[in-house]
Amino acid sequence: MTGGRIDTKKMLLLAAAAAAVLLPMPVALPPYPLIVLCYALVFAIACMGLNLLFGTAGLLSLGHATCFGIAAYAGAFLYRFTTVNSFELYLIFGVSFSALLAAVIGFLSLRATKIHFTILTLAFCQIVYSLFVDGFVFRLFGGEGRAIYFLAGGGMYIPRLTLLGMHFGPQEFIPAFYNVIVVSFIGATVLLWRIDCSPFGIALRALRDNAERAEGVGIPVRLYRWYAFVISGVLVGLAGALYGQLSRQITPEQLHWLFSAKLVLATVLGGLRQFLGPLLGAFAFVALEDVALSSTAYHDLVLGVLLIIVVFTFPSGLAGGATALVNTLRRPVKD
Amino acid sequence: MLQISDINTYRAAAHVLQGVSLSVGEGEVVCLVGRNGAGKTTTIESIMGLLPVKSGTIRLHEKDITGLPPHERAKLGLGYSPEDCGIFPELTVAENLMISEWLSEAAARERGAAVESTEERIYSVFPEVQDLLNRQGINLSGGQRKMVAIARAMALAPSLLLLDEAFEGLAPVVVGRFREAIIKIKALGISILIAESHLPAAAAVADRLYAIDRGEIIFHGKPDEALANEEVMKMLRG
Repeated sequence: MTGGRIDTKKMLLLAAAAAAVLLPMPVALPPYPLIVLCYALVFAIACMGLNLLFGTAGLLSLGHATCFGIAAYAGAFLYRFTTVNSFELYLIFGVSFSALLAAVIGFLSLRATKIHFTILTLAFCQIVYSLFVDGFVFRLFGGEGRAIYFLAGGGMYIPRLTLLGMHFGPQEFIPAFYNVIVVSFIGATVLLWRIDCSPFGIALRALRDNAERAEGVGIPVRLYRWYAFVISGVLVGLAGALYGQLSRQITPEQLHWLFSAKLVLATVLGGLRQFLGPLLGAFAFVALEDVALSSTAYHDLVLGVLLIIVVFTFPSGLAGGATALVNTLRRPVKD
Repeated sequence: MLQISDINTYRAAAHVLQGVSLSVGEGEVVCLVGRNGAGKTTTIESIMGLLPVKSGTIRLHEKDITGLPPHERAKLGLGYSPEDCGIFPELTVAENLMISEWLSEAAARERGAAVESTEERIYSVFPEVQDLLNRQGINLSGGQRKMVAIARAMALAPSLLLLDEAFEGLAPVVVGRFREAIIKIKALGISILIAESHLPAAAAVADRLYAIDRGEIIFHGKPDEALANEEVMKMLRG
């Protein structure tokens, strides 16, 4: 009966293959493409995390920018107001804040469903955004907090932190930090894969199809949705903390609901219903954004046109298009 | 085992169930018959907790479950096969069953009880389900859906099965197959409450029978008494 059980051996082999392909990249790639790859991997973690809630559980959140931004901000405050300069502590502190916020926002937002849920997540996102952009959070830290707010308009600087206790100079930091990103990416992917194949993941898909019937067969719908929200928030927070250290700054822009919309857009671009869809979407989105930014001043216009073309060409997302293509090629040719 | 006392249930502003009382004993098959719109599905959904009960009480194994959410009722041993079967279309049959099996195991662990596999019991009742395991819910026929819905409810290791319109839309030969299945489920010691609009089909499997009309129980007795009761037959004929 247990047809969906996970094949752990296959999963570990694929994770090892991904590591074998990704880890040598600092040697194979020049510095700029390596940085773009770092951003793509970080963005992919966020999109895959969001998709647990969006694609798997069927709940569209426009509030996950909060989890993304708050992780980096929490880490930045920890560095600024304590003597901590370890990346590991920065990461744990930031992700813990994301988890806490996701737990609270999820608990409150999940009192509603469908579009009302989406609106609630957007509202919470904008409340948190306004607390940062208007300086309220900074004022809690007294004069120094006020000074940071007035100097950078709500943005915060994050220096190169120590990785496993080691200091890296400007030239060595990105190649070293890339390994942290790859490990986080593979870890997040394996975790999500396990969830996707587990009875919990199957229950999330069931409640996405029909929440009332899911409740009727014994699935605690609201509780499972909340679990999905928190796990998703933690993974988006992980991406946010990595992003903060990678770009070495965090601004309120990453807390704005438009950033959540960007995550949603990339996820839809890749394909909601395919496990690797958000990964493809994140890579495509970062690549398209890079092409648009480097080719013209009208980069938003170009990005918009490129996205329209991709969406029309692959209505079920890039992963859906790839699956359809593979199925067509596999189909036996009739005489 | 199940005791419903004087429940009143509304659907929006409509007062559908008006003081319904019924009971199901250990290992008993009880049918609730009535025309479409008489209140059968509302009764089943009230028992399952999918519709809130305005007044009255529902007790399962002497425990008051009136205020419990549906998933808690399922944990206490209520298996439910809805009228539309409620098969999750994007999941395979194996996955549909796996969820209930997993929830049943989790509930057993929570109670500190031994975790028992329900596979053997399900396949002893519906061996056909084994051939459907890899098929997606959306690709099942009406009869297969009903079969999988009952199998999924049984995967929860229930003490009482609620079957809403178990025989509706089935070919006569398949109705016979479902009757056999109900007898086998009863032999496993599982009580069954069937909401059914087709009296002969219900009478063939029921130990006792309730007739419901316009949200009120108008008859309670043995199936042959119901068949001989002119008022019940007139009500069912409309």
